[in-house]
Amino acid sequence: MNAFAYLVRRETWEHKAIYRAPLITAAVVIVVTLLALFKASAQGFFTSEHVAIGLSANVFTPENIQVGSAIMFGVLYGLIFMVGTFVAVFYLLDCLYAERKNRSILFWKSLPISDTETVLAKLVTAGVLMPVFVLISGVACWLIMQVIAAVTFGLLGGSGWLVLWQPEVLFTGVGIALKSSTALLLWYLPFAGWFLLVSVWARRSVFLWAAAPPAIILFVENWFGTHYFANLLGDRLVGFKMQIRDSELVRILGSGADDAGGVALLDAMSRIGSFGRLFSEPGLYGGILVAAAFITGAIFLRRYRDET
Amino acid sequence: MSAIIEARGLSKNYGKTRALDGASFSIEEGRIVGLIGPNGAGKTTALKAILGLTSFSGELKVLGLDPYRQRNQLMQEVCFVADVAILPRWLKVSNAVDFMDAIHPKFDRSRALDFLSRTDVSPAKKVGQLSKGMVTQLHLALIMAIDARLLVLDEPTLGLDILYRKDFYRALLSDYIDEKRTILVTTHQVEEIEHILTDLLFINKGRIVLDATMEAVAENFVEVAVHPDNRERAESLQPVYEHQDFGRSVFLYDGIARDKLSELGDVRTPSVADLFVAKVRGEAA
Repeated sequence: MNAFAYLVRRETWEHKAIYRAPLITAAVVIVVTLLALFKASAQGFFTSEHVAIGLSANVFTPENIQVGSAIMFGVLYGLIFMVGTFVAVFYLLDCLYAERKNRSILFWKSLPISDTETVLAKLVTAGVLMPVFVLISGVACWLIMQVIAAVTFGLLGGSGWLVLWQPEVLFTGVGIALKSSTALLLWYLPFAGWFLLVSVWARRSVFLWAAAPPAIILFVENWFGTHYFANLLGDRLVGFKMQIRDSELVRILGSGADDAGGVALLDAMSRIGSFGRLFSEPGLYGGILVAAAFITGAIFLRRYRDET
Repeated sequence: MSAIIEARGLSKNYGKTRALDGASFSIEEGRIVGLIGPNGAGKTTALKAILGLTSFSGELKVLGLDPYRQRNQLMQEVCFVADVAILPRWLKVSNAVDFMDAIHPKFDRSRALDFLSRTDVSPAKKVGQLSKGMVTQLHLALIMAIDARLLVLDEPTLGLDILYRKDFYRALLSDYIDEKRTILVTTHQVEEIEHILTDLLFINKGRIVLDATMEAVAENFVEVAVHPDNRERAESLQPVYEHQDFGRSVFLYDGIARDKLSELGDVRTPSVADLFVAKVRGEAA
């Protein structure tokens, strides 16, 4: 394994939440589902009679089952992604602050690792490794839930195999996850850069230092009656949602998915993370430049600030 | 022989405090140099400048490089242990060895493991579970497995009990030192390292007050416990320093023949600690 890969690996030794948080979230979802299922069957909320009625009323068609499976994929991945994002923010704020707080920085600085490599390793950990752990946990969680659903459905008189075998959902889902997490990373890169800069710079209270400067700018600007920074920040924060709002997905969900079917739904979902629109957005490049400035600042500070 | 460190007029201010005030010295390859000075004399600042951790004015070359500007290149050949360079508590011993092996081109894994096997440090433990002495042993094992040209030790045994301190220097002496490796060490327990040093550098108030080999020190500096009757003669020979020891005046001389001094009283070679006190107090007087 090369040196840079080991620098990233080192981060998982120090910040175990990077892989523990997504896995624990997945485990909690599964345990809660199983408990709910046992409770529901014990109280007769979900029986073979319900399945029989559903089958005869054409509710459990292969198309509907695929839609259900796709929605489950989206919900599980989305949930774990949110947890992962939360952990990544904490990680970015802590990573370069912790080495000064526990006074190990001079040990790291005694090694032939440049400050550029160090800071970039932290960015790669949060921006690449974290999404990979989220995806692995999301897929594993979905697969286990598929098994749970298939066994339940099979035991109650339906075809378990029909529920279980969803390769199209899996491949399309993983594709969407990869595309959307890449798009989200690029779009929100300025925040990652800002957190790294705060992490290197702040001598204490990293969270306060991360939030205070933007809050002060907003306040001062408001006092002068302008909203340039507020608009900029707002566009950045919700800009990605805008892209989803008028997407095909919303249209299909709005008109009801009955005749569109699962594949059409997945197809529409795949457009959420569509690169075409993102890359034609000038704001993306502006954001990457801002991120580069923050990251360069973080590298420079770690390199030239006189500690102790 | 080539100079590993070459400093000329090295200066550094922290606000109004002058930490280094035009220090000049040069360290040759293969030497084991003790950098000794009272608290606040500029020792740490000098080491930080040498390791590229702080800016400075004046001239400084380490292995022919400017340590501040060419730090990345320098750290391929230099390693250091500072009392403030602490191993993080979460680091597992076996991971530490793997990590060094992966990131340091000059790290010899088998040397580190061999050294660790002679200590009580268990590879499965984390740094947080080790005693302070064991952490130092681990740090030393990691550093000694690096084939570096310059090793800088800044108070490496601070806070350790005497057994660990002895082990530390014994390991350094038996496993590390050879004619290609240069070591620069600072410590408050100078009596524990004086037998391994080849050179002395005394620093006081940001200036070098003594720069000599141990042979030169033994040759030039003589301490005489002067008999009260000879006091006037002793003073006329211009001693560098005088102090009282068990009721007798002890004079320190620089560059005066031993046989001449032996007429005045008991003659002996001063210890590094005595010489240090004489030099630092003598400067102040």
